[in-house]
Order: sequence, then structure tokens, then C-alpha cells
Amino acid sequence: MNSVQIITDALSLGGIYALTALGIGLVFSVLRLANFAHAELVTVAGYALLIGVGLPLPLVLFMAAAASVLVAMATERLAFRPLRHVDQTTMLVSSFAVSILIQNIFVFFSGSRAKGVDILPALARQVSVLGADVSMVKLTTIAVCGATLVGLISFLRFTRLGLEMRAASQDFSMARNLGVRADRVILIAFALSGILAAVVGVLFVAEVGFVQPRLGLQLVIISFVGTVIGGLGNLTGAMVGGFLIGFIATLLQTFLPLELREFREAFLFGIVILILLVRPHGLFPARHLKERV
Amino acid sequence: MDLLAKSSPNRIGDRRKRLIPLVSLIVIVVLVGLAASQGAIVMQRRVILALIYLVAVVGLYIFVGNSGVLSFASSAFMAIGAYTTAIVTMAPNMKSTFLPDLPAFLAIQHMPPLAGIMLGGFMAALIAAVIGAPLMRLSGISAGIATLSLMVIVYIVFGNWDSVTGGQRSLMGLVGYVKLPQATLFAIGAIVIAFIYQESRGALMLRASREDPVAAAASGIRITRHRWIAFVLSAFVTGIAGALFAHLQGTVRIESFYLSLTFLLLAMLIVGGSQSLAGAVMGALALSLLGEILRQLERGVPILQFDLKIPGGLGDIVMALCLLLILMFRPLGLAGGRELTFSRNRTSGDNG
Amino acid sequence: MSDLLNVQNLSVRYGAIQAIENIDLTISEGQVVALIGPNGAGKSSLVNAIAGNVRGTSGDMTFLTSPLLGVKPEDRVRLGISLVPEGRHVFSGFSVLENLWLGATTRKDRVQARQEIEEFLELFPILGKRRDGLAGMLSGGEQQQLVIARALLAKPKLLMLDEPSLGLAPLVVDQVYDLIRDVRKRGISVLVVEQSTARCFEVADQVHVLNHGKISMSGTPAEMGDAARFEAAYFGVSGEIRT
Ligand SMILES: Nc1ncnc2c1ncn2[C@@H]1O[C@H](COP(=O)(O)OP(=O)(O)OP(=O)(O)O)[C@@H](O)[C@H]1O
Ligand SMILES: [Mg+2]
Repeated sequence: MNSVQIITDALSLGGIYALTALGIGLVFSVLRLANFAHAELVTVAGYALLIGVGLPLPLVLFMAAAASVLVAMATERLAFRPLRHVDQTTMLVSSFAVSILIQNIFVFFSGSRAKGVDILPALARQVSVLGADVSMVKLTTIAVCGATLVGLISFLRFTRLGLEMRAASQDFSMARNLGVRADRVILIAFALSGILAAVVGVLFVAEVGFVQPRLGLQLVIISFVGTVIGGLGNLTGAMVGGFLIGFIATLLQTFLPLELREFREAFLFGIVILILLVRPHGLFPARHLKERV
Repeated sequence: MDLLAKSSPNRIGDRRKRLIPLVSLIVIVVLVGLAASQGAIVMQRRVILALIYLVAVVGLYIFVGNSGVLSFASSAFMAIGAYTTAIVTMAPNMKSTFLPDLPAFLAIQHMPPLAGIMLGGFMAALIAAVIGAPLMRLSGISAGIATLSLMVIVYIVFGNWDSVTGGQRSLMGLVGYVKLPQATLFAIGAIVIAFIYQESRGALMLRASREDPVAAAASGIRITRHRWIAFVLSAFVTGIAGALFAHLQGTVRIESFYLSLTFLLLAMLIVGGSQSLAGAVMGALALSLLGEILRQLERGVPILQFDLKIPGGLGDIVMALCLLLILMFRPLGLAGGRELTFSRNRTSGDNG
Repeated sequence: MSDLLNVQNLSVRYGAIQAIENIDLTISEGQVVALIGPNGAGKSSLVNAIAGNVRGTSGDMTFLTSPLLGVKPEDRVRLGISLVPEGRHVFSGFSVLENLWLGATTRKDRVQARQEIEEFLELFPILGKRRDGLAGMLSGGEQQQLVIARALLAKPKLLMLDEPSLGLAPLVVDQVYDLIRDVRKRGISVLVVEQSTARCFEVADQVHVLNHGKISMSGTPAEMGDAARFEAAYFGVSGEIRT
């Protein structure tokens, strides 16, 4: 592998992790909920692609986004809103329950085996960049992740709703005393996390070419770790943490000796533990982690 | 006024009273064991499995319940226990088939199952002792992620360390040592250990620190040490559960020891109520029972002239739904943070 | 003058701690009411209950004609109740301008709101100069100006200030109280919480003394007598007399 390939790999993997970490971080920042069911938001986009095979591409993409957003908002409304008063651990466990629930719904309707989806055959080729062969999927992933990040950041920085969301994540109680609507902000955080999950789901399925009920699981666990080492409650941290994890994973994959390569994730998570030991609140700790509503 | 009502009853029977929660839990476990012994073999296996989960949940409780710090490491410790006993108890000729590259000193071992199970507990405790030492400084979500990472590391290492664990392949031919009496006794043993521990001064301090983080920070170093003790003890009990699991199944596969197992055990603890031993026990039994009922329903249950049957796969969905509903309506768990006392003026285990 | 806020028989408790007990309080339109009491008397609990941040265990509250029971804090702001909490709570990682815009969260008339923001930036030249700087970098007095301006942008009918002079130098406290007089001139009712009497005696129409969760004395400043003597009698403070 040459350096161009390594960089594309790192950027595309990092971008996927960063978007996922941001989705988790957005919900965490307003609700203090570490939402493991984010995995299923990714998966549901994949299944939407499966259902939409044969339809025009824009329509299929819209279906994927709509599916993730709807499921995200439904879980908020039906599961997490009634659970707002419980403690963080119980919330976390309830998000497992939601995750398992949705997973099993997929299994129920579609079986547990992987199903092939070839959404973007056009991407399945190599192109030459600076004399190196890199896959079109990876380049697309980088571009889409970049665009999504820019979109999200602009939303948070420049719109009124974005301002309210940031305020809620810094000091929810004060934000409410200024009239920020708690229910709405939380619902929108879920909806946004749904959009991010849909983007990730589509890119991921385009890369691997199949869906299965646990599609998002491993991705979310790794990204979740990215959110935490970035500094829970801090969106910049989540983004950096996600990229960092992607970079480390790519470097391990590239430079570990062959006989150790299958232990790659063990090294990755070992590094995570080390980072946490040195910086227990992550690399960019959120300044004030106030209680949630 | 409240406080008086709780502490006023005659202090004479106090010592005996303190044992009531322990005795009630043991009685429950014995009753479960006895009831199951009347059932069919398949049924018995289910109950044995439930009792093994109980051991693991009690193990998890020892750490999480007392320290208030989340841990995902259960399935890692169970894996360590299971693989340890497999490696030391399997017949040498089996090992030469499944683990041809096993180092010689391990290859010749042929211990009895009980020794293997205990060794499984000790190995888990040993690893917890080493890794736990730095980890115990963390709390909250960071601690959760660190233990989650630990679980992933164990899973990856065991799943790829071909010479010692056989990697992705299953290890077969373990002695099916765990029958109902053994499972019942181990469950009682776990409950006794957890009870003795939670009555100790260290555990009291830990629980106090959970309620009052400021005071906890003030006495930081000792809290870290007590957490570590709880973590090691918890790993010991959980490791034993893993070894028991291996000797129930007769085989060991790394796939059994990953996220779903950790989720299940955590769910059992939280559903029962992570703040009391009674909660841990009740959670393990309640979710096992619920799982069994749903499994029966999926197979079809004749009721009068009807055959009540739910479509396959629906059971898991209903299970997750029930879990959610319990968390919504009993956020402190079925036991609500109390021990079983059977008196109207109950004294709760820790927040009374 | 008609009643703006009517609190009846309000109690708040946190677990075993009874923070306030059976409080009755009325604030009329345009009135400035001072609430004074020592540490832990329950002052913050009372204003937080009115703002909806803590739930009363019993009692009733009406604002104009709306019952407040069960109304969320964000909707109380829309009714016209704004709170500047103890400790100010600026959004420290946000710019001054963003903080002000957050004050206008409930406003639909954005053009008008923008204009008012500009007016505040003119009124407080320091804020104007640092409009794009981080609010957390402002001094305590500047932050106090910022949070009062921010609260006013919601166009409240009742402004509640929890210990606005806490930790400020006497000169800065003067500025804050000038601001309160200003607020009253706009026809906004004010409930100001303080630990010491001197300043609020100057602006208040009505003073309530809160002790151990109960109102132990009420009256106009004139009825209460000389502030300093009053303070000495009720709090055993004699040294710290400010004029
Ligand atoms: N969130 C809370 N949980 C438990 N107890 C609380 C809480 N908030 C306040 N209290 C208690 O309620 C009582 C009244 O507190 P409150 O903050 O209302 O007093 P205060 O008059 O505002 O005091 P200060 O002048 O120090 O601000 C105190 O005994 C306090 O310890
Ligand atoms: Mg106060």
C-alpha cells in the first residue's frame, strides 16, 4: 500500500466513525443518553436500501434517510422520553433493549442472514489518484462525510435551532429558562442523529454490499468509544475522536506485522484504555457537564 | 420520624435480623432447585442455565451494585473462566486434536472439573487484579467504556489466539459436571460471598461514596482500593459462572462471550435492581423465567382445546419490550433497591 | 394595580429537607418586591419554583390568569416570567451576541429583537465592544449586565433576579441597581432576591424576609425602618453597613 491509499483509507474510515460518533454525541449532549440503539438507525437505512432496490437512486436515498429519522424519532418518543427521569445506567441499558428490539424486528421480518444489496454499482471501481489506485467508494465516502460535516457544523453554528441545541447541551436548565423547548430540542437531536446514521448506513452498505440485522453494531461500538475518548458531551471532541479511531485502525491495519493483524481491534481498544487512563474525561472534556432535564 | 421508625425495633434480634435477607435468598434458590429436580431433563438444563446466569449477575452486582460504576466486562471474565477450565480439564487426547499447539505444561493437565472451575475463577480474578489496578480511577461513562474495551480485547485475543484457545473453533469434550445440585450450590455460594462482602466495611464505604461523590473524592485513594477489591471479587465470581457455563454445555465457543451476554447480564441486574443483592437474584430469575415462557410459547402451548403459539422470533421482540416496560415502570428495578426482609418496617440494604 | 403573580401556600422540599413551607406571595404589576434572607433560607427555592425549575410539593401559583401548576419552565418564559438565576449562568463558550440571541428565543418578531439587541449593545458599551468575544471572558459585573439584558429580551412581565449583587464590587452593584430602576421604568415587575437589605430597600415597594423557609416579616421599606438597624436586628450583622 502506498501513502495515498493509506490516507484515503484513514479518511474514509475516520469519516464514517466521525459521523457515527457525532450522531451519538448529539443525543448525548442534550440528553446524557449513550444511545446504543444508534446502531439500528444505521441498520434501518441499510434495509431501506434493500427494499428500494430497483427504484430511482434519489428516491432510494430519501427512503433511507426517512427511515432512519423516523425510527430515531419514534425511539425518542416511545422509549426514551418516558425514561428521562431514570439514571444514566438504566437509560443506557434501556437503549440496549431498544437496540435488541429493533434488531429482532429485522430478524423477524427478514431473517438473520446477510442479504446482498448493490446500490451503487458505479462506485465499484478503482480510479487513479496521484498515481495510486483507490476505490471510488472510498473517495465518495470521504466527499460525502466532508459535506455532511460541513452541513452539520453550519446548522449548529448559524441557525437559531442550532444555537438552541448548543445552549441546551451546555446548560439545559438555563436554556429552558430562556424559553428553549426541551422536548423539541431533544427530538431534533434524535432526528439529526438519524440523518447522520442514514448517511453512514448508505456509505457502509455501498462499501460492504450487504445488510444484516447487526450491520451497525460493531460500527457503533467503535464510534461510541470515539465519542468518549474525544470527550463526551463535546461535539468537536466526538468528531475528532471518531477520526482518530479511524486513523489508528487504519495504521494498525497497515503497519502491524501480519501475524498480529488479526489482533488489530485488541490493540485499538488497548489504546483506548490508555487514552482514558491518561485523560479520563477524554481529549476535549466538555467544560460543564450539567445534569440533564 | 422516619429514621426512628426504622431503627427503633428491639436491637436484641438485630444480628439474626441482618441474616434474614441472606437466608431468604438461599431459600428461594433451594426452592427453585428442588422444583426443577421434578421436571424433565430439558427443563432442568434451563434451570441450571438460569442459576449460572444468577451466579454471573451476582458477580456483576458485587462490583456494580456496591461501587455504582458500570461494567461491561462480565462476558470477558466468563470467557476467561470458561477457557481456563477447558484447557486444564479436557482430556489430553482431546486437546491434541483441538489444540495441537498448546504449550506442553498445559497439554498434560487433566484436572477434575471442580478444580478447573475454581481455577477459572482465580484466573479471572488475577486478570481483573492486574488490569483493574489502573482502571479503578475511572468512573461514569469512562469506566463503562474502559470495561467495554476490556471485553472487546478479551474477545479478540481469545478468538485469534489459536494455539491456546483454538481461535474461532469450538473446544469440545468438557466434562458435563454441572447438574442441578452443583448449580444450586454454586448459586448459594455466590450469594453468600456477595452478602458477606456487602456487609464488610469496605463495601459500606463504597456504597456511601456512590451516594455522595464529594465525600468520595475527599477519600479518593481508599475508594479506588475498595473498588479494586470489589472488581477482583466480582471477576472471581463471574469467572466461576463462565466455567460452570462451559461444564454445562460441554463446549466452549468464543462467540458465546460477547456483547449479547454482557447485555443480558446487565439487563438482568438492572431489571432486578442494581442496588441490592435481592435485585440481582430476582433479575436473573425473572428474565430467565420470562425467556423460558416465551420460548415455550414459540413452540406452542396447549391450553384447553387451543394451541397457543406465537410465531418464531416474536419471543425475542416481546422480551425486549418487556425489558423496556419494566425499566419504565420500575426504574429502580423489581427489588427497588431493597433486600428481602419480610417485615413491614423493612430495613433496606443500603439506603435505609 | 392588579395582581401579576399570586403564590399561595407554596411548599418545596428536597427529600427530607423542607426548603420552603406554606409561602404566600403576591406581586402586582409594576411593583418591585425584595426577598431577603440568610444563606439556606429558601430564597432560590422560591424563585426556582416560580420559574418552574423545581416542583412545589403543595400549593398554587397563578400568573395573570394562568395557573402555573404543571407548566414547563420554557412555557413560563412565554407567559412572561424570566429568571436570572443565582450565579448568572452565562453560556461561557458562546459569544456575547449569541447569549443575547438566546434571550430572544421566544421572540417571533426577529427584526424587532435584533434592534433591541443592538440597543442593549449600545446601552452597555463594554458588551458592544466585545460582542463577538466569549461571554465567559467577561468580568462578573459585565456578565451580570449581559444576563439581565438577555432576560429582558424575552419581554418579561416579571423579572426575577437571584442575588444579582453576589460577588460584585460596590460600584458595580450600583450599576446593577440603576439597571433595576430602569427595568421598573419600563413597567416590568421585579422580584429581587438578596442576602442583605441596604440596596434593595432603595428600590423595593415591598420587602419580605425569609427565614428557615417561612416569611417571617413583610412590609414596605419605610415600615421596616432603617435598613442598617433592621439588618443588625434580624441577621445579627452589624459591621457590614453599606449606603
Ligand atoms: N437541589 C437541592 N437538593 C437538596 N437540597 C437542596 C437543593 N437546593 C437547595 N437545597 C436545600 O434547601 C435549602 C434552601 O436552599 P436555597 O438554595 O433555596 O436557599 P437560599 O436562600 O437561596 O440560600 P443562599 O442564600 O445560600 O443562596 C437549603 O437547606 C439547601 O441545602
Ligand atoms: Mg440562593
